Amino acid sequence: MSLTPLEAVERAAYALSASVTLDFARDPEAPDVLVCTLHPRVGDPDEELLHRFRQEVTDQVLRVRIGEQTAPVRDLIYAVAFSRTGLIAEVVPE
Amino acid sequence: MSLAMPSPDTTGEWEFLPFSFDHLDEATVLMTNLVGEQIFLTNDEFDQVRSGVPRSSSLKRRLASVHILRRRGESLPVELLAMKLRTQNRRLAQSTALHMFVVTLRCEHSCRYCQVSRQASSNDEFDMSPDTALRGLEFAFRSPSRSMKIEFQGGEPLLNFPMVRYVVEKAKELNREADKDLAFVIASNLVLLDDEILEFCEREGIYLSTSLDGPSDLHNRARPRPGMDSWERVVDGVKRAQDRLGPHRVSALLTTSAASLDRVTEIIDTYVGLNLHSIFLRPMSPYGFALRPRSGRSYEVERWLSFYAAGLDYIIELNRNGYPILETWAAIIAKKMFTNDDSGYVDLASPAGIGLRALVYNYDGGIYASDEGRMLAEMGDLTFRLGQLGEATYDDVMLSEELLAPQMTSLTHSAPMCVTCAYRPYCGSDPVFHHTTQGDFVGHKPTSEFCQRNLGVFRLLTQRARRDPYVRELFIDWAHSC
Repeated sequence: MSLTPLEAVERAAYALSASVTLDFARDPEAPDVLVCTLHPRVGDPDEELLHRFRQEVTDQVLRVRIGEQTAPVRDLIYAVAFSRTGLIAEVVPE
Repeated sequence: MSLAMPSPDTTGEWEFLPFSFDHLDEATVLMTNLVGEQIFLTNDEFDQVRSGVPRSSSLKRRLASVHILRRRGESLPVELLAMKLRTQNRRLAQSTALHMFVVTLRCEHSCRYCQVSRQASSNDEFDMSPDTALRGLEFAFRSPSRSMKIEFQGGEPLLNFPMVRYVVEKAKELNREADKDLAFVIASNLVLLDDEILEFCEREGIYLSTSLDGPSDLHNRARPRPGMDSWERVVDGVKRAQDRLGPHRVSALLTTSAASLDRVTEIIDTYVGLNLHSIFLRPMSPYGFALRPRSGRSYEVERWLSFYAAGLDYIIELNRNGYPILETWAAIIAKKMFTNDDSGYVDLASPAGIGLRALVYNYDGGIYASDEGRMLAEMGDLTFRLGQLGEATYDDVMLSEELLAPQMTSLTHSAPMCVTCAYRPYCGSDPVFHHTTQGDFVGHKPTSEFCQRNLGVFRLLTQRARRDPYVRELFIDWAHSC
């Protein structure tokens, strides 16, 4: 098991920020645990909101992991794609 | 609340390539690869992806077929994705294709939602001079793009028809040496269309683009003019232009006001009645006079999306029943979705289309990054004013902070949420819209009207194409038509 990346929680907070704002902090008793407090912009927190947030965090975890795993090949694809565009003049050594 | 996830398997023979995803509906996940090619998974299948490389051989093969998975070290998927990516971005080296000349601010309409600062039709101090027009042309011909479309805007450009004629003739003269693929469009309400103008358009190969908001009561209420006969005149103008120039040389644009939202089939029927074969169900933009309380712009994105969906479904049925008619926005997106190509549409590009795909030369010589940037300037916001013809050089303008700052900060490859959005390859950035509505070039995506509207349309088109092979083929046909 691994802890949820903080970046995934931050991304989820941003994605849902039209309807909810978020406080999060490390639990002083268990530093590996992130404690999140949801503040709906309208009304009180309910189960539906919690489910939406959990679902969003779950999706963001995958996005963060895939982003990290595939970063080298993504950079390679971009490098190959734009290496022969002619946008930058090739420097010919004298 | 604490959250924990199993670590995906990163060992073995297979590895993931970059992908994005969206929960298309309760039972389906859409996955897109780096260039926007699609695959649909059930929730069970997607759960396998969450856990790492799927065990199912058939799922592995399906994911590999759209370059979301590859055998470790395999080079072909990288080369194919790179080639497609380069093709999608080929226009970057070919800026700027669209050049808009605002030959006058004068107009004899007083449309409720007009986005420009119109002036009384007798006030010729707001006309473009020949000297300004020539400087605009010389500037435009500096663009590296092999194709060049010159669009005449206003006000009502036919109120300064001598300047339209001058620009067309001068542009053709300059093009003898430049040898670009040159095209002309007059964006006009057609009220002033007469035989002399039609003869000129026919001889010079000029296209006409007009505004038609649907049935007469809807159109005339939104577009008042002396006599309240705008609809009758535009209908007459469309018919005359079709007869003289041919049906393909005249098109019409719709501006959706709140009063339009419950009348989409009537609006489309008006287009069909005029033998028009395309319609652009575009929402009203938040610029210029459109921001006034009486403009009719005040409607929710959800209401507009319902309007759009109803209109699209009606258009699909018209096609199914034998009347070919294309919805322009769907066609622009379908081109990106199904052909790995791009129509060059200014508002769905990253880097943003401002400056790189379109430049505007105002009647007074002001150079703007887009028509919307000019409208903002008329409201006192000069953020997208790039310089003055005769003072700023081409390099000054194209390398200016005023153009590069909004471009660089709003790239969808780095903007929050855009960077992981499944629909990013079909979308774009619109720094002018976000500057206007949210106060910065990037915008706050969860509350961005641009984002909500485009996501709604992307999901709608994806769902319709997936459910019905006829619709998919129709969208592909549209993609090749725009």
